[in-house]
Amino acid sequence: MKRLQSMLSFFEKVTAGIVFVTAIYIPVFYGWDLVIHADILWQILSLSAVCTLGSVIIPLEGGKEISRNAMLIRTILYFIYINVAVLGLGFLFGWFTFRSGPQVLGMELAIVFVFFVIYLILYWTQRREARRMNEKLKERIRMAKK
Amino acid sequence: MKVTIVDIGPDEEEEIILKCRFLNDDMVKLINRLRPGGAKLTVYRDSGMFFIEPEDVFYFESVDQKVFAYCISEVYQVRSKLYELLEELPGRIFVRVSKSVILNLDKIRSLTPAFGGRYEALLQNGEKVIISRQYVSSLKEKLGI
Repeated sequence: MKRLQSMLSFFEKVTAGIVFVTAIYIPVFYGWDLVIHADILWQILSLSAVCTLGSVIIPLEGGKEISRNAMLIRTILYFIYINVAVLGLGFLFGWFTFRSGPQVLGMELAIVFVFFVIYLILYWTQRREARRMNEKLKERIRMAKK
Repeated sequence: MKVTIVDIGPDEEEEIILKCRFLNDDMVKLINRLRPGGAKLTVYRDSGMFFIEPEDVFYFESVDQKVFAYCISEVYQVRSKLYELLEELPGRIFVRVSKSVILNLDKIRSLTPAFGGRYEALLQNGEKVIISRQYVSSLKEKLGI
């Protein structure tokens, strides 16, 4: 259940990230006048789902304990997985061609951007949690002094 | 082991005498429980045995199957395993924060996020302890979040 909740939350973030970079990518490489089909919505959702599936490699809070290095390795593996998924599906959906260097670079920048933004959001959430826990710790000290 | 209870007169002082060839861990725990001032923790250092207040321990760490108690500046060895300590220690202030560490909540100065969903606890003596992702939820629960 916890894994499902985590995946749904991740799916939302990935979808928002992909929609955002697509909104930049299309005008940059195809211009503002490009007419797109409804297929693109399903393509984006499919890509988000595939990217989310790979997130099982990252352990849940309260799940199996792994070392800092193991976490780093899993994060790198996940980044590689995202690259293969986005470039593979993006190519299949006809979003870019490997013959165009700028388009491949654009896709890669998009991947790095979404990955970075999601990590930033997760870090920000963790900071907020840390602040809450620090407040509770201060409360304990205040109560103990009374 | 033979247990003898002797009736005493109203003017005599109550006394417990423990007769043994050597003090094993169970007996040390028993003595500890009977000491005035509540349960103290039996710890060892330089072939000496000490009794300390559990509240004075910043954290317990298991290293190479030995458990150590880290106080403000001293380090003692503890004979119990981490899971046994968790049962003996006051649950209100001690929480397991990783596979090898039990932390005293009252000794945390602040918490900061660390890589991979972990947190770093800065203790009042300046030491830093990592809170593993696996145990974050039990820490939050202990803090009432």
